[in-house]
Amino acid sequence: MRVLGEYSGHGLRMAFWALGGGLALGLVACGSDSSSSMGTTAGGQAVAGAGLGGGTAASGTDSGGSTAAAPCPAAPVLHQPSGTLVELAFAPTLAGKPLLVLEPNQLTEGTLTPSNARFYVSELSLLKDDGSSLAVDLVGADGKAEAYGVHFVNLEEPASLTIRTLAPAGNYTGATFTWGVNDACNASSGLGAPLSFDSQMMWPHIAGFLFLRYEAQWVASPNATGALGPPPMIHMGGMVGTISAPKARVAGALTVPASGNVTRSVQMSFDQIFAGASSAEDVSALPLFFQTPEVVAGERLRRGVPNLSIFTLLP
Amino acid sequence: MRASVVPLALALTLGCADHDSPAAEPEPPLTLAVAPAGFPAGPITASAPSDNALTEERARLGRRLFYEPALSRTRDISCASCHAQENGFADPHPVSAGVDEQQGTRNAPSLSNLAWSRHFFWDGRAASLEEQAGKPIENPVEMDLSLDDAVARLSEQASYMRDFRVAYDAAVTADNLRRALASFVRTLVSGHSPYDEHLAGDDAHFSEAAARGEGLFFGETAQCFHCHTEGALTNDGFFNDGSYLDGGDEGRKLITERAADLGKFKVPGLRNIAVTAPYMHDGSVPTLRGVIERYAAGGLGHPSTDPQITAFTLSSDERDDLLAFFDALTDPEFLSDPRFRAPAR
Repeated sequence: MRVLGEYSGHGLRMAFWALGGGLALGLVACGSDSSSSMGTTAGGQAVAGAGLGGGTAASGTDSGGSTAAAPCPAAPVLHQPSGTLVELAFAPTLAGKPLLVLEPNQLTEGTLTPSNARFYVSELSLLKDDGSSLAVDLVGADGKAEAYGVHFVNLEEPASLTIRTLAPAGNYTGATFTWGVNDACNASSGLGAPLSFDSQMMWPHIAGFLFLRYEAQWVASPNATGALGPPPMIHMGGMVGTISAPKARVAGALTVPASGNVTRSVQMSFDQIFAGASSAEDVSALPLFFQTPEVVAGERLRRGVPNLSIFTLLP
Repeated sequence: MRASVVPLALALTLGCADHDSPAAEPEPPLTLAVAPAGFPAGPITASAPSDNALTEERARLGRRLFYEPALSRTRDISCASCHAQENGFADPHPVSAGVDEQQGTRNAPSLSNLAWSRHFFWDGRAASLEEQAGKPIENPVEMDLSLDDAVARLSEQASYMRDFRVAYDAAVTADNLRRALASFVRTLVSGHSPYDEHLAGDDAHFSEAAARGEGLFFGETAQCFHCHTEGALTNDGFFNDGSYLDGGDEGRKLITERAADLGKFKVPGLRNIAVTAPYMHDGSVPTLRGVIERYAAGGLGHPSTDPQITAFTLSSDERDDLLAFFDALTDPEFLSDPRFRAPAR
């Protein structure tokens, strides 16, 4: 076992080791907020357990199980190998209008031009009338499972905005999904698309994948009142072993017939995303290494997801 | 442990000796490299498209074509004229000289590890290596030869007719010319640098200064990793890195016609970066120290600059450490690998 990398001088020392055919990651916070734990997966891959102190892993939004993550199979076994094809198309909005990407969005206080907006979706479930949930799968148009059970959305590519699943007929009260990469895949490397280097979501290995990456340019209008514009950057995720991707809820009733297809739009409110990223949530316990504006914004958003109405099924 | 190429002995079964030298020793295979850290794990052959499966015969034909000056109108410029192996298959000149000494406007980028890329040229105007391969041949300030004329010239040589037949079971065609070139470029895998060894657990050649530089590179001060992802050292995306000034090369915008793409260029991979000077899309920065200066200043200040490009402070020692890390990205085997040299004629 040997140290491959050590990032110091940022209040956080991170070391990761090659271990046989697997990989172990250890995160050690310097100073008073120090603790770490390690878990090892069945596949021989060890991941650091939660515990960067200060409660960063205990925000109540974790998808759970970060210390004993399962492997990340490229071809996951389907929970629902048959059923009605349900297509849910994300429709990003801002200030009541469709959000434009790589184009200027005129707002009261200025102009916002998003230059990069992308995110992952995994672990989709439908919510039943009785309050229980039904795990379904992310599939392609051919009904086959998406690689690694993960869907990648790049707002520059309209086709990527639609997620698909096969569902039994029934009435559902909404859906939930992991807004990002599940723990097992987040701790893996050397994977193919959509968990590959060209997703622009792969951070240094100690940091796993980003769940959401957003960057934009903001130009205040000449008569702006001085109010701050939306956060220019939001990087949610990227702290493998210490945080998990949040569970997002899609509010709204969904009826799935026994035959045919269902296509619905899911409003994705960037007003709510910006509100979450700009909240006063105390993230001062984040390691100094991560105390950059975009990561702070991302962590505030991550923690705020349960209380935000970001995703809504449209009629 | 290294990303490896199989031993020479395996090549004995392939029977791919030099075309015009029947007595030449068989060469080791081109196609059996595996992906370096950071790229999707697996053999290099897995990166090829279904309509151009990577075979030894195709890669070897592509190598021959890569060094073929007859693919330029004046018969004196080949792909290798601007992509020199000793420079990581980049051009040591700021911009390249094409036929009749015409000057281009961009620096010829390194060709290493493009097997896993989805965008080609600085502005991403090609979506595959196969599409990319024909464009410099036809470009009037580069090789200035139509693909039809290229096919005609190659078809005059029996050895090319034979090699195309062996590789593609077809005569010389423009499509197969591009495919063969793409096949060779796909084999240009660089994964034996001290950094690669370091990622695999061997720090024998990875200095303490390089390790400190690695920390800076992947840290939130310099933030290089936001575009130069660990392992691959590129995210294959397009960003305005602060090098654009009014009236300059508009980069990606020339392709997409979107204002938001002004001044964006493809993020290059950084293996062998220490030997690929000069830098940036236009070769305007002669040294890596100058590159650090550029980014530490937050770019040249144009408002189109990506929001991730912000000024930062590094001490002189820290800059030296970053340079040591860049040196550790040099793969000596790649720069002198005889499999990538011009074939004997």
